[in-house]
Formats: sequence, C-alpha cells, structure tokens
Amino acid sequence: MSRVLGYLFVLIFILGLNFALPRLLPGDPLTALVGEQDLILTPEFRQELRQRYGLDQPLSQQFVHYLDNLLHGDLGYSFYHQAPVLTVIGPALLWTTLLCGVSFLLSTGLGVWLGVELALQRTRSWAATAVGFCLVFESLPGFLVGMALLLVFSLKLGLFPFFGALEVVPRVSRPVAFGLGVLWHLILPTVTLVLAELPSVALLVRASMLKVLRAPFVLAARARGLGEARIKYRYQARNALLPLITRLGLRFGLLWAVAVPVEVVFAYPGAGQLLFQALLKRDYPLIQGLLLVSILAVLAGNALAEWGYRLADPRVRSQA
Amino acid sequence: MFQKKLLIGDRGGNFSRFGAARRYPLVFLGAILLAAILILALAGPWLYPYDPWEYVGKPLEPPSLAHPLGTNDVGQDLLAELIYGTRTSLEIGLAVGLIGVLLSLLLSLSSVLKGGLWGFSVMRLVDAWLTIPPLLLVLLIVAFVPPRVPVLILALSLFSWAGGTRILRSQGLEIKGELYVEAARAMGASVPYLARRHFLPGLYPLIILSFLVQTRRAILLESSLAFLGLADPQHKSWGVMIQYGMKFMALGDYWVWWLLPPALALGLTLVSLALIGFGLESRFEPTLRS
Repeated sequence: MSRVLGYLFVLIFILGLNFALPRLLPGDPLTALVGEQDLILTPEFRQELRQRYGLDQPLSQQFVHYLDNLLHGDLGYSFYHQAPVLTVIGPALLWTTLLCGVSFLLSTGLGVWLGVELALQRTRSWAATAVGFCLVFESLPGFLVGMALLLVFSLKLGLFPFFGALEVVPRVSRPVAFGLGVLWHLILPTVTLVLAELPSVALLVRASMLKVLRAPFVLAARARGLGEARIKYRYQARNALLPLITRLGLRFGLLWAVAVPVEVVFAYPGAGQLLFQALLKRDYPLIQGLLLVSILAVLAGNALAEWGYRLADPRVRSQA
Repeated sequence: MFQKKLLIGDRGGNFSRFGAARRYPLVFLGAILLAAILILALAGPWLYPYDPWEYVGKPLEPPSLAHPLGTNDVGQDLLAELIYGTRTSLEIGLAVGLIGVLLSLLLSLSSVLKGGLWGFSVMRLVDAWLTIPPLLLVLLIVAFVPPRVPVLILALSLFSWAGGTRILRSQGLEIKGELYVEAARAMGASVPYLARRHFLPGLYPLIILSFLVQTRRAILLESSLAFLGLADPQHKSWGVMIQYGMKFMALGDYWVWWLLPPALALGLTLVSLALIGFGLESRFEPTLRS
C-alpha cells in the first residue's frame, strides 16, 4: 500500500513537471506548443490557438484540462509533423520496443549464464579476465560502444548496414527478404545494448551466486546424488537469481534510456532517434509526448515487476 | 589523495606505498588515470596556447606540430576543445557527486536518527524515485530550461541522492543497533554528537563509494545529454565533440583525431572511477557484507 503511495507521488511529480515546464519558458507558453512555427503565426491564429489550448483560463483549470486530455490519450499536436503526437510516436515506440525487448531477453539470458559460470569457475584465469571486461564495459556509455562497433563492422568491414531498420524491399511480395533485412539492421544496435547491459547482470548474478556456492542445501543435494548440472541451475542459480529478479523492471528502464543515444548512433528509427530529431527542431509537444510515454511505461513496468515478484517469492510477501 | 590515506590508514606504519599499490592494483591504476585526467583539466589551459573558441587554423586540418589533433570544420583547435571539455565533465561530475552525497547523508542520517513517519516517507520516496529513468527526465527538463552548467548540475543532482540514501541508511541502521551507540545515548549524547562521533566514521567508506558512483553517473549522463545536443554552448564538452566527430566518421581518417580522443578521454575517466570504486569495494567488503 505504501509503495503505491510512493509511485503515486512520483507520478504526480512527473505529470506536474510536464505541465509546468512549457509554462516556465520565458515568454509565451504557446511557443512550446507550436515550436518554430511560433514566428510565423498571425495574431488571429495565435488567439485561436490560445483558446483551443485553454491558455486563457486559470492555471488550475488548465491542469484539469491537461489531465483530462491525457486520460483520453491526447498528447498534443506536433506542428512539425502536422499530426497528433500519438500517431507520430506510435511506430517509433514499436521499433524501440523491438530493439529493447530483444536486447533485454538476450542480455538477461546470457548474463545469467555468464554470471553462473564466472562464479563456479572463479579460480580460472579466464574468469578473472572476464570480470575485468565486465567492469570496463559496465562503465562505458552505450553510444561509445555502438560507435566503435559501427566504425569497425559497418564502415571498415562493410558487414552490416550503418543506418535505418529496413531494407528497401517490398514487404508483401518478399516477406522473407523483408524479415531478414529487419534482422540484419537489428544486429549491431542489439549487440551494443547487450554489451551495455550484460556485464551488470553477470556481475550481479556472480556476486549472489558466490554466496550460495557452499550453502547447506547444495551439500544436501550432492549427498542425494543429484547431477552437477541440476544442482547448478535448479538449486544454486535459482536462489542466486533473486536479486536480479527484483531489478528486472529497473533494468528495462535503464535499457530504454541507454537505447536513446544508441539509436542516434545507428540512425535506428525508434523513439531515441525521433527524440533527437524533435530536439533539433524544438518540436516541444513531440519531446514531451515521447518522454512522458517512455517514463510512464518504465514506471508501469516497474510496478508490474514488483507485483509479479511478490507473487513469485513468498519471502518478500512476508517481509512487506 | 584519499585513496592513499585509505589504503595505508589503519594497517600500521610499516605498510609501504608500493605494497599498497600491489595489494590494490585496481585502485592504484584507477587513481593514476584519474590523477592524469585531473592534471589535464587543471593545468592544460595554461600549458596549451590555443583557445577552443578561436579560429586558429584552416578548417579540417589533419594533425600537425602546431595542432596535435588537427582542427575542426571551422578551424578551431581540437586538442584545446578536448582539454576544456575535460574541465566541463569533471566540474559537473564532481559537483553532482558532492551534492548527491551531502543530500543522501542528510536524508539517511535524519531518517535513521529521527525515524517515525519521516524515516518511513523518506524510504518510500527513495524506492519510488529510483524507478524514474534519470536520462529521460533530465532530457525533459533541459529540453525546456536552457542547459547552462548550473542548470545541468541541479537537474542531474535531482537523481543523485536516492541510491546513496538507501545504502547509507541500511548501514546507519546497523550502527544504530550497536552497543556503543546505545551507551552514548544512555549517557545523554545529543543527536549532532552521535552523528559526528559515531555515524560519520562508520559510514565513511560508503560515503566515498557513493560519491564515486554518483560522479561517474553524472559524467556519463552529461556526455549523453551533450551527445544528444543538450549542452551548455559556453562550455566545451566531450559529448558535443563526439557528436560532431561522428558526423565526419565516414570521411577518411578524421575519426582518428576527432572522434577517438574525446571517446577515449570519456571512456578512461569513467573506467578509472569504476576501478577505484570496485577496488575500494573489495577492500571494504567486511563492512559491505551486511
């Protein structure tokens, strides 16, 4: 219950910030709504817009109006794209979801495997080297890693395309070529995000795995004659995954944020790239809509993850 | 610097400096790297003749003796830009780290010592706050408020206190349960005295660690923002350099002296902070294992 209050507070803070920021701009809040078009508006049109957005009403009523619009899925109108914000960000969000989803699954799966192996083979020299690499990659920003990959594999070796997400192939008549094109463009950005995300997963799993290596239940399992593979995954890793599971929601949010500059590097047509363009063009409604939807999605994901975690682990339920 | 003091600290005088370096190679390596970067930031502008805002050469000059990293598309010296970018990154990083640590110290100590409704609401706020993705919200803020350096510092500081507060609080609660604290309380020790005499010494490894973590995060976020075009136009920034360098990436070898140096500088700064943090963490592990 109290956690719900916390989320509620953050939600109100973000909505309030989103509402207040355009109105804090020096001059006319209308500037924030129409962006660069502000310079070419006639006074009559300006007055009409002012009325349409309710900017002539008191602030409290404006806020109610704003919340009402949000509830109806109205995020404003992008004057640059000449379309409602929601229809502009829709496809971009899909691409980012694809990119982040694939990277999230891959980095979680590979990270767990690597973390388990790093803990079990901690005396081997390769494990120490791998931990070092994990540390370095964990602290590097994603866009730097992405740039290095782009430079080597796309520009120098020519193995991968260096921008976009699609081949110029008819989608209906040649679906296989289309699918392969999508996959081909997805590889480098995905590798970048996995490299940015996997090390922290691996290090986290390794640390918690080290704690259960010599736990009594492992000895008991061995005494019962269970196979090593079964002990490793069913008994040790399963317990070591707990701290990872609590952070699943948080990690997805982080991944989403890392994806923003990475998409710019690869000119991948997702939310990050769209945001970059919107920032260049000062398309304020689009900036706001994109960031608001992203932040709310991350918050919702977190709340869901926490709720699911409570269902999954009885120990947390009793702690709460 | 504090690393050396920590390393030699409570281990008696016969512990040589070289031995410390061998015992904690990660900390040592990180400290050397960081010291080099600090020197570059502090002394660079005096040692290097060019101003990064002046048009000192022809556009797109390759490296030469006069301009070791060449010039950019409008004829400004790239090495000067790199040096001044170091200052911006470190300035923002250290300021945000400091503000973050002070805030989290204040909040965690007050929530431990005061407890009750205050402590409860601080912790709930921390839990919820940690779920906000910092980059996205800071982007939202600086898209509207012009990203001057003080604005950046304030906006980044908004997200630099929650993690530290959580860690410091859990350690603080443990200290609160110690017998010596109980004894001091029984003898009527005041809250400020307890905080100064018992809590601060017990918390200081974690204070240093969370300072390092927050500084690193701030530098990373600042460079990401600058890379996305949200930087203070009056300050040179690595992120902006990287952004421009990337535009010329496909053009011959320009990336070697335009893109690589700021990328390396940024990467090395972040890695050195991470190395120091990781090394110290394993040094402090007994206190962290709680």
